[in-house]
Amino acid sequence: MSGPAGKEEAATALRVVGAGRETEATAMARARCYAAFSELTASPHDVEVHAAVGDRLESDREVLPDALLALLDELLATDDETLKLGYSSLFEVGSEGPPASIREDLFSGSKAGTREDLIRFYDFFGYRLGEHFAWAPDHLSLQLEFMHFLCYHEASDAGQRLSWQLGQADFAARHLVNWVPSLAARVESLEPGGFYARVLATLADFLLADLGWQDSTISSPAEESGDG
Amino acid sequence: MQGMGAAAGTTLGLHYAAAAGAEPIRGEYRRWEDLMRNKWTWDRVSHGTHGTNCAGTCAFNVYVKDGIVWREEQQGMYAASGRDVPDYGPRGCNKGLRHAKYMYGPQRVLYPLKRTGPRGSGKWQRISWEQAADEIADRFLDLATTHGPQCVTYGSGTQMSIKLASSAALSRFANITGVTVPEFYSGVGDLPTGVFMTLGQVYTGDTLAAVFKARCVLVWMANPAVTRIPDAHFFWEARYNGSQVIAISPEFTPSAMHANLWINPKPGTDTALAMAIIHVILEEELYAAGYIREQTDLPFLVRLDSGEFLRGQHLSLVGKFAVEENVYYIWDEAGDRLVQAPGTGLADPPIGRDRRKFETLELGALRPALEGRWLIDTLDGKVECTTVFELLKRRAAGHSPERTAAITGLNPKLVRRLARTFATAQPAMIYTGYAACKWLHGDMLQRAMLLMLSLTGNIGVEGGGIQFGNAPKMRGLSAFAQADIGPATRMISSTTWDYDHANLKEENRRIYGDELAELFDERYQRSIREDWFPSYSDKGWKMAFFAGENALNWRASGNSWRREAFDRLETVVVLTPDMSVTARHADYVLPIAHHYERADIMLQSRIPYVQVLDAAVPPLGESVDDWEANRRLIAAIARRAKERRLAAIRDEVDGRSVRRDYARALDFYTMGGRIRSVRDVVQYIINTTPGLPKISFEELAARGIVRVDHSEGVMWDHEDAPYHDEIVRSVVHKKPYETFTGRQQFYIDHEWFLEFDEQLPAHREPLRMEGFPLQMLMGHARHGIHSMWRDDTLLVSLQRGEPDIYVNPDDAAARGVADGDLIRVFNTAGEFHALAHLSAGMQPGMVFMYHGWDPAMFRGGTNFSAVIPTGGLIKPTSMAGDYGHLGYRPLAYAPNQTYRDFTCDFEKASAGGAS
Repeated sequence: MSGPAGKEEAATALRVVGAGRETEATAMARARCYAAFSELTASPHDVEVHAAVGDRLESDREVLPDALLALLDELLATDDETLKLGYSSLFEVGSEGPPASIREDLFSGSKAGTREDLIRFYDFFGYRLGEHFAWAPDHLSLQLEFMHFLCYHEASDAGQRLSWQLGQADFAARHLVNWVPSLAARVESLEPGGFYARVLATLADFLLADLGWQDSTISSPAEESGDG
Repeated sequence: MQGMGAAAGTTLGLHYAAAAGAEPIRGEYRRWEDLMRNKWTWDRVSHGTHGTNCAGTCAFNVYVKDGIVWREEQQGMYAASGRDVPDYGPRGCNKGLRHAKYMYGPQRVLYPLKRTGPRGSGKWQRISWEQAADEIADRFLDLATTHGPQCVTYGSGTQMSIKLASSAALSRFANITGVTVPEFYSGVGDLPTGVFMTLGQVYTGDTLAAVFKARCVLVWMANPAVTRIPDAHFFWEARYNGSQVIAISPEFTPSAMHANLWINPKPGTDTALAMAIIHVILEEELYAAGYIREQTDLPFLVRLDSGEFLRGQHLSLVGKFAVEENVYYIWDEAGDRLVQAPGTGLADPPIGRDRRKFETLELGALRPALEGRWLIDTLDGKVECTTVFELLKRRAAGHSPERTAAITGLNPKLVRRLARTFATAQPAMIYTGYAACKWLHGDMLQRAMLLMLSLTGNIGVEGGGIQFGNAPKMRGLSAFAQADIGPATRMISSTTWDYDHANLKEENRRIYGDELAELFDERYQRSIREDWFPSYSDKGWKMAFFAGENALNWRASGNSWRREAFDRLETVVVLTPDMSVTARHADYVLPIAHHYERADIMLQSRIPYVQVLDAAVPPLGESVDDWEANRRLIAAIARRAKERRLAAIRDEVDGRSVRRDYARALDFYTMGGRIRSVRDVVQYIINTTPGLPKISFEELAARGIVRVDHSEGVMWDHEDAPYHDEIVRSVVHKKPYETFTGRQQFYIDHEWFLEFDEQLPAHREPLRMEGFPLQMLMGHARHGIHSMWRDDTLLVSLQRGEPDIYVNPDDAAARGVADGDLIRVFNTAGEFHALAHLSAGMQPGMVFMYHGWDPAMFRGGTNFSAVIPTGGLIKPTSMAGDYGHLGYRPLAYAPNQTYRDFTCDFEKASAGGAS
């Protein structure tokens, strides 16, 4: 534990998560959704997405929302070459950079501190990237996998549950919600109604809804009592 | 590169996480500010530098955390070359300190790309390395087996050549495959051919600390405050130390503002200035007579009837039929007799270096006359002869400061003052840039500069000399390229290659007229016919690799080259870390590791250290280092050759028969598996290059920089040092020069030189284009190294945000142009658009532009190369051969592609004129 000494009890009480969170019922389901979105937005050049999505559907079909299932089914039905071509031409390659970078740092114009903030989140929560992916901590699929990672631990680590929960809300607010809706709009303008346009539109809706829901479960007693 | 597998179900499966899995949470999380409370730490700090041709080799510490380079800083642990000179540190500049950000930028090429739309359309497909390599290999094999490998080129640029292991890898690839290598040294107009004509050697530079030793340094056609940022302090420290630092340039450069004196001749009149200085030195007898008697051909006798040197074959039948053509004569004043000049008459000129070890320039009791006329008995009867020195005086008389004032625009009194300052300072140096090679008659400027130095005894002495860069003795690199194979490489000047393939004779005709076009072409073709210079063009140009080279950015006659040559290529493959204009128009783009992602070493003569590049992080995306990229290509060539059951082909290179068995190409490339990575290449070069400390790559990487051997002083003056020392050997140890005369050779009696009156240097007016009054000059930029980093957003923001061109305020006013206006720069060759940057530092009648801007950064998508029509200007004497040391020598003697002999005009751009 590396938190500041002395005021930990009071500080911890800055934000609390209410009973409405219903972690047992929600955390693993949300983890699965984030994992599925991570696989939908993964580069088919780098991740065997057909295999991953096939496994996902086999194990999680009963618990995933219909909109997400439809996208997973569509991906599975798309041949690998088509998927790769569509993905890379949108998100990965271009004479002046990709038309719609799938990496937050590039998409948002390399705002100072973006990557550092991500690394600090990952380091704090123990999410360590493999060597070949370490250079792109801002990749959308990777950020979504991190959310999956946080949700999973919310479900399985009762001792640190509040940390995992607050981490999700902050990470989503500082990163995913900050740029994914813009990315979705950009892709829709490039390929209206295309597969990845629909994936990102669905994801943007999900992120906003999920963050709204998370926020609804978090309160700040200290602030409410005027002791903030 | 695959992830850890599916992540379905309730198991925590992760695609991107490290194999070791997740680590425990680091503490209780309350809010995001807590993240910032943890001290930022580094996983490692590695040593590296930037493998570009700024010749800086600045040692940097590279800071890495979580597999990302976050920042760099100057390593700064250099010592000095002696107690009486400043040290070499710290080193670094604005570009290098941006690289940790730039390497993650949007310009980065991360994956193998295949074009899916028309060239330049920007439509790409990411493909696997295997697919890319196989398709490229098949294309190469089709061409190599039907036309011969010479119709495929592997062009390398300055980024490539400067990294020794990468360069060695490319050389080995070329040696095995037989592709043609159009070298860029002459191609970018950097080859000091005038220096080679005079000294038989182009690599003459010392460390930059030598500048501090000069009592007078002429910074001529150079701008070290911008182009040599880590070393510029030596100039200013020399000035503080009492030396005269004199800047000579038409425009007021950032270097000129720090000089004691700024001399601003009109553009293209520098040779007239140099000859005027020579005139004053001769007229006022400020020359070092003893030095020139021993070291130069100035006392050599010349026949006045033919203009030839008096040679052994002129004097007797024995001499006439002797093998040696280089028996020269002096008139010995001591004995009042004709005497064969010491050090001449060697059996094997000019390469007979071993033989020369036993020869000497020492005069002993001889006292060669510098002036006089003598009637000499020859096989043709009595012939009047005089000395080169006499002829030089006559030539210089026509270039007095008063006579040249109208040419240079300089006050004769100022020129005389300059000449006296230069000639009486001991030692005196000329620090010049490669702009001196970029004029059509740049060779004569270099010869005149060397005359200034030689007459005053300043060649081969500490704090003197002409300071072009030196270069490492390439024995290690050559050994690597040829090991187990032997020499089988086709290396050719880009200049002649382009002339053959870009229809540049017609460009000459269109721009400079029929007479010039026909004359230049006739001599060019004759030189090729006589086998003075090679040509591998008979099979056409069908496929090109470009590595570390942004060819579409810098080519002279850019429009013609693009239209007539590049666009007609069947296959274009670009290997690059960053998207460039050349890559945009390629068929395949292969991703190459950037500076902090690779291992290599660099040697630059300006400092006495070998510099490491260590891989701070793995290459981004699917990029690989050049060794590995070439290995993958050659592995595919071997694999496909086997699968297609291709038999070995019989190739002929420069008269040698070469068997090329492509099925075995990979075995050759890796030396039977002994070379496994670029680190092995580096080690090979360390072990085989003279002057490099024999240490392991690992030790070098741990230290960053290591001092090279025999570098105690500021000069490269030791036979076992890594850099060329031949000139010092001649001056100090009296070994004959590797020239036809065995001396510093200022007089060239090749029939073409006599025909064009270039036997001695003389001013020639630069070529102009009728109706276009403005001479356009260019120079290296502060905010980029060639085209690298030129598009960095921060560096661009420190300028005007887009390409700008410097113009004189009066010229601008005459055209109704204000500062910041968009202008159209044009001539009959083409046009481009840029912002007008009004500066009183520009002379009327000239414009100036820093180079390197990518065409994509210009409105209209065309850069300055559109107005530079000089690609075909190959002056006849630059193709002369069969004359001792003159004749094709790769990377030493070849015609430069020049970039200066043209004019242009500008006007305010019409609204919407450039979109």
